[in-house]
Amino acid sequence: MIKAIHDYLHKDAFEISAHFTLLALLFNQVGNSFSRPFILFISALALLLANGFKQRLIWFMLSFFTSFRVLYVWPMADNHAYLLALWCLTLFIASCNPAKARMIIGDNGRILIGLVFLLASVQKMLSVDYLDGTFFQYLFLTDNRFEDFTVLFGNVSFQQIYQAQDLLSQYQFSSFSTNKNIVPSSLEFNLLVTISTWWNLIDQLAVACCFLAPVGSYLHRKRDFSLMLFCITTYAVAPVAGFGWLLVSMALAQCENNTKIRIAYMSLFFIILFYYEVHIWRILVDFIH
Amino acid sequence: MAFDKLKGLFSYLPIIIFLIIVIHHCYWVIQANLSPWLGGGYGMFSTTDYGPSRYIKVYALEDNIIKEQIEIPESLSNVARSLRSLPSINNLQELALEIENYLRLSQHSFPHLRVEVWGSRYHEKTLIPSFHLLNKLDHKLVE
Repeated sequence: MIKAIHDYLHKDAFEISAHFTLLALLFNQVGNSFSRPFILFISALALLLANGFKQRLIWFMLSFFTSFRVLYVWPMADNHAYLLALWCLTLFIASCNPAKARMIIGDNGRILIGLVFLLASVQKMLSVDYLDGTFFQYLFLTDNRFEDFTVLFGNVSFQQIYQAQDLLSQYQFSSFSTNKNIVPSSLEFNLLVTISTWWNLIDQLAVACCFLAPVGSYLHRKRDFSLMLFCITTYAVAPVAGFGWLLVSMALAQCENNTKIRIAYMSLFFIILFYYEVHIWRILVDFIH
Repeated sequence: MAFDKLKGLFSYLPIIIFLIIVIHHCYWVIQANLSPWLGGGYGMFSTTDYGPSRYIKVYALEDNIIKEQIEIPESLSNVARSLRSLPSINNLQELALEIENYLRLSQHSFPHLRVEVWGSRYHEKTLIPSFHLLNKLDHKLVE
């Protein structure tokens, strides 16, 4: 077993990245009822066949179906659907040019990750309601996916969250005008909002700078650490595992042939799976209450 | 030589397409109030300006006077979701036509429909919302 893992860690970056991309496709089950069966079938086939991941037809079909899924529902597809389609296209181009596959996936993976994080941070800086904390106040009080986290760290009760949601819905186009504060008065909640706002921005900006920094520079050498820190902190709270798995698959394509970094990324892939399947904040809330 | 350059450029096609998508996203955000969360611009988790903060109002009009507010039927929820995300004239028209068909089936008849899409902005301290019109369309029903 240990020898098998050791051998796997020394495989070509294209093979490892392709395997993890296929795993991400199988775990995340993307697409609609037209494209999903094809995406799942092709991904499974690529993993089951010997050297299936090297077949350019496999990556062409996956590029086609993941792009189709984006175009068919435009503009409703999530941002990671675009990135997934582009990453499948990258793997297709690399499979067409085996001699340069390592360079193609490495460069595209690194630059695409850098650009994604650059855009995410620029959008936050340009937004009219991000830097002042409005966004996270709204998110923590209205998005049920975050309510356990908010209750645990924001010192607010579920009842206060539901009251805030009720108040918000009463304000919608009604003559309701008591000017009652929707945000619960809690020092911890305000602190949680401030930390979330600035941590998200700084962390994403740091990943962008590291991935887009010149090759060999200090920042460039810190890129894997910055991305791992982002994934460990973000996906513990944000339930968007598909994006996390895709980022890890892309990161595996661009990291050096360093066994420790590869182990760290592969572990991260399964940590995200753990976050996704085991609702740690729910368990903690139940335990405390 | 030129073929080699083209081949080299082909290796970076995903990055080129990525940049085109970003320009396309910016165009629609500026041109038709596309929600920054969508369209491949990576604006998710950056603003409250997305689906749940946008509302659609449909009114039946007669002589430019609002006669009735029309509830959007559940069967049109996907069309409404698209319109909330991208309140373009095409999407307004699409919802208006769908509602026209729905009204015809339910034996209602009005000369005009007005479809409006509203956005919300929240007070930074209290979260009390204020509303602003993103786009609207007056649609004449076929006799």
